[in-house]
Amino acid sequence: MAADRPTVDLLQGSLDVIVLQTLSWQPMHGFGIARWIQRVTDDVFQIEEGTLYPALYKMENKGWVKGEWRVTENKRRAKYYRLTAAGKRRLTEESRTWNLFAGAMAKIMTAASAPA
Amino acid sequence: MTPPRREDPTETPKWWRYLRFWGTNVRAEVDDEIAFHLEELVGHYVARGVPPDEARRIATERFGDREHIAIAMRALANQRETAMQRTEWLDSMRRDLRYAVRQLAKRPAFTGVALLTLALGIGANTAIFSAVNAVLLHPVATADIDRLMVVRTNLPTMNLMNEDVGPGEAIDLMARRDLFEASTAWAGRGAVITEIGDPRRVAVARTMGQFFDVFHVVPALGRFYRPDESEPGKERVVVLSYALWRELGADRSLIGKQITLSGVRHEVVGVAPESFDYPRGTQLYAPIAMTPQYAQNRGQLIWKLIGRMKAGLSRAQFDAGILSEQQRWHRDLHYGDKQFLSVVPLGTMIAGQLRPALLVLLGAVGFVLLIACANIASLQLVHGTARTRELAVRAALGAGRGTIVRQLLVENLVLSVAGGLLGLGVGAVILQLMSAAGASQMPALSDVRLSGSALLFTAVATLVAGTLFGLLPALRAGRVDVQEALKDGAGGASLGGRRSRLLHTSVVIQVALTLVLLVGSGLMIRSLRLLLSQNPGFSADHVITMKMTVTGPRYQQAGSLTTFYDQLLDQFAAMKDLEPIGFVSELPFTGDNDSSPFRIIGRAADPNLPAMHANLHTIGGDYFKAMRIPLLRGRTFDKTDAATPNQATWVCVIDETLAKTYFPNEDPIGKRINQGPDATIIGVVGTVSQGELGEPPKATVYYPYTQHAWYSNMYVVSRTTLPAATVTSRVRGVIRSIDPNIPLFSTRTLDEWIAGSLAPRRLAMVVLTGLAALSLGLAVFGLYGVISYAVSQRTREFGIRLALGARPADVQRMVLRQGVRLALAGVILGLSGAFIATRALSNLLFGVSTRDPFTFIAGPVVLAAVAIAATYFPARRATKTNPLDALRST
Repeated sequence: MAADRPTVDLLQGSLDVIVLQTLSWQPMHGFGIARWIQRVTDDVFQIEEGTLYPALYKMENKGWVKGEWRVTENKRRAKYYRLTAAGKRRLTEESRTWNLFAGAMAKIMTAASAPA
Repeated sequence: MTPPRREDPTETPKWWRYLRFWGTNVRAEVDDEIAFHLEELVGHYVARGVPPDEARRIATERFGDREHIAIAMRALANQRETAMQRTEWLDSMRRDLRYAVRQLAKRPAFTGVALLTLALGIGANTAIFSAVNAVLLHPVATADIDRLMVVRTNLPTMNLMNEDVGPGEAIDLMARRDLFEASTAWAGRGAVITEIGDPRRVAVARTMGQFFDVFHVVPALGRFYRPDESEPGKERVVVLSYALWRELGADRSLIGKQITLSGVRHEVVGVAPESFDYPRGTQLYAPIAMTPQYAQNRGQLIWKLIGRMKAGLSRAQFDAGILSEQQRWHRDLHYGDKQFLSVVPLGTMIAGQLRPALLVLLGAVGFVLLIACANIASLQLVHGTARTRELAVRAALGAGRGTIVRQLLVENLVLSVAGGLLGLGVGAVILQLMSAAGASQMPALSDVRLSGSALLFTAVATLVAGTLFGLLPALRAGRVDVQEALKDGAGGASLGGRRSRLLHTSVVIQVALTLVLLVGSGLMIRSLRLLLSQNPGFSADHVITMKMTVTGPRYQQAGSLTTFYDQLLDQFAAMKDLEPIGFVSELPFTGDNDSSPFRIIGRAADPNLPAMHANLHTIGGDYFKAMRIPLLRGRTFDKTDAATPNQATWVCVIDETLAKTYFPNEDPIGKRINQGPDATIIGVVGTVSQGELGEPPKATVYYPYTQHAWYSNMYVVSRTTLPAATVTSRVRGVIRSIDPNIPLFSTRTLDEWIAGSLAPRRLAMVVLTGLAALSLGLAVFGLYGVISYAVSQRTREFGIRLALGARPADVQRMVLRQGVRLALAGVILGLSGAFIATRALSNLLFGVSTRDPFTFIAGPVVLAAVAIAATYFPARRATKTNPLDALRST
């Protein structure tokens, strides 16, 4: 992922990383994913269902996650997503890129000297 | 960061899996997932103290356009489903294939025989189909070859059939724009080109009319010649064949260059396309100057008239148009006959005798494929029975009938695809053999490659074969009664009545088809032997022939050719071990011929008869002695028959046929004929075959080179025991010493020329005999298999019989009788088939009727003998049955 991509792409890509990172903890259903992200980011990231589910399905088609129907504690049927081996590899790559980007961004924002 | 509270999901219930078995219900899953999300969202708000109704409203609003999201999700899920189904299908296919290969490997004898059978059947088919495709369907690279027609001359009273047309007739016919979209006439000859590299001999097609337009070809370079370039004086242009252009260095700047063609300067105006090779082997195309003499020269049959039928004209209308022209000649030009021209499709003419030969072979390989299929079907039937137990076990373990049928089909598919691949290899070998056998005589065959369409044909044949022999036994094998099969412990299920009938039918069919092939090959062998025993009128052994083309600037003046030939003969006279040696303009069996009209001086021509025609040969030296053509009366040419402008002293020698036909009750010596210039008959020699062995005799006139002094292409003929290479190098040395620019080429023995004329027949005979032998092998194997199987099935019965006192000979006779009955049924069916099928051979046979009694008796006898031998061994085995063992194995 290049840092000079348009914003939409960046967000789209970011959502994938975020979801993969979330699922790296444990299998979760869509609602769980959305809730968890919201909670962790103190409601900064409001995940929209209109983008979350298609993103999950796309990742499932790519083989990064695998959906399985299970029964929740409350005896309700829900589709759980878990990270596959391919998904884990993808996450490693994506997080490296993301860290580079974030680090560079931080350096710019906190630069001490004016441009020459 | 803390992970959310674990929900610790339990396993999916079992019933859900069964639902998945029929594939995923995408719509329901997407709806369920969204519904779950919404309910959780509502629960989330309620937990925060929002009243339920309000919570539901907020949740719905927050979720957004539910249907829109669902559509996107469904589309993605469907993509996944399709991909998964494809993977699953591939997986099960791979599983089936692996299983099939393992099953086949378990039965190496069956698999080996089946593969061999298929490979031979399909290989033979591919090879012959490729040859048919190249030689018969695409003989020339042109569009709509069906619309190209050749006009031929037939003068049955003179035994002249399917000959070329005269230039005058060609010019008249080409003027019929109502018949032709475009038309041309060509005559081939050798010539020498100089000024580009070394002098080289090239094959030239001299053309009238719109040669290239007829074939719808466009030049690869430059242009083709224009219609006005056949006016006298403008004709000095040539088009190179692509092959010659490449030989000359593939240089674009050749266009516009001057070359010297037989001593005359010509401009190279264009290059023909690479794919175009008609007339085959032509290297140079040149227009012929249409001088008024040409239009008046009627009846000299050396021009091939080819035309593209006008669009919209039917073949019948076209033929009627040609007929109307002949009637005009009859009316206005006083032609003796009203109908002597025939129309032949160009493809048919090019293929010549290869056409009937290949068509017969095409039919024969079809038979072989049928035999192969019947053979494999019977193998399958036997094995299907033997495998009943295996299949019953699988059925008992829950495999449905569909699964079993599919499994068996896959096995057959594997078998036929593998057989087809092997068959391609076999086909390549057969083609190689065919072209090695006849390529020098039949150049058309040397170009044949296994074609793409042949590949397709093989693939289809393989699949059809696979389905044919796979489906029927598979369906039957699939209809297994599990209980019955398992109950029948030891031997597995035996052949039911219907199945054994099927088995017997397949054997009878194999025997019958084999007999048809045997009879066909027998007829071919007999007719070829008869042909070879025909006396051509000369003696061919130890005769070596070479061709020379005497052209160049110095042969433009009158008399110069004669001077060359005089010098040549003087030099030959010094080489005693080459004697007798001479030369001739048209050597028998080379395909060269010049049939020209003649009249007898002092005798009025019968206006109701066609013009008399005779082969016209110009000779020099001891031609008659070299060929051992006997002198019957008078004398042959000698030094006194010199070059002289006084035609009153010109002479000729006629052959016995002309003498008997036109001078039945008088001495022809001293009579005068005119076939161009007048000439006095001084001698009569024996008749020789010109085109092929056993042909009806054709009248011939021989002229001395001194007086008929315009032939630049000659065959040198020497009867000698020296090796051909020695003769060639010595003759070449002699020619070089006179003129180093004269090429000598095409060294062949006369026997080779004769063999060449028989090549299509020989090819048909050899391949047909090979196929018949192959089929005989297959049929015998089939019969042997079926009888062996029957014997193994009747072991108990034989045991009981032997125990009850039957003698082994009785048992043996019982088995033999079964085999003989099957063979006889096949023979009877085959004989009636052969009566019909051998009619296709009639064009290829010589001196043998298509119902030749000898062949029709010998074929069945051979077949019956082999069939009885095939039955004998299983019959012997039957007598060895131990009654106790047989009875115990219940």
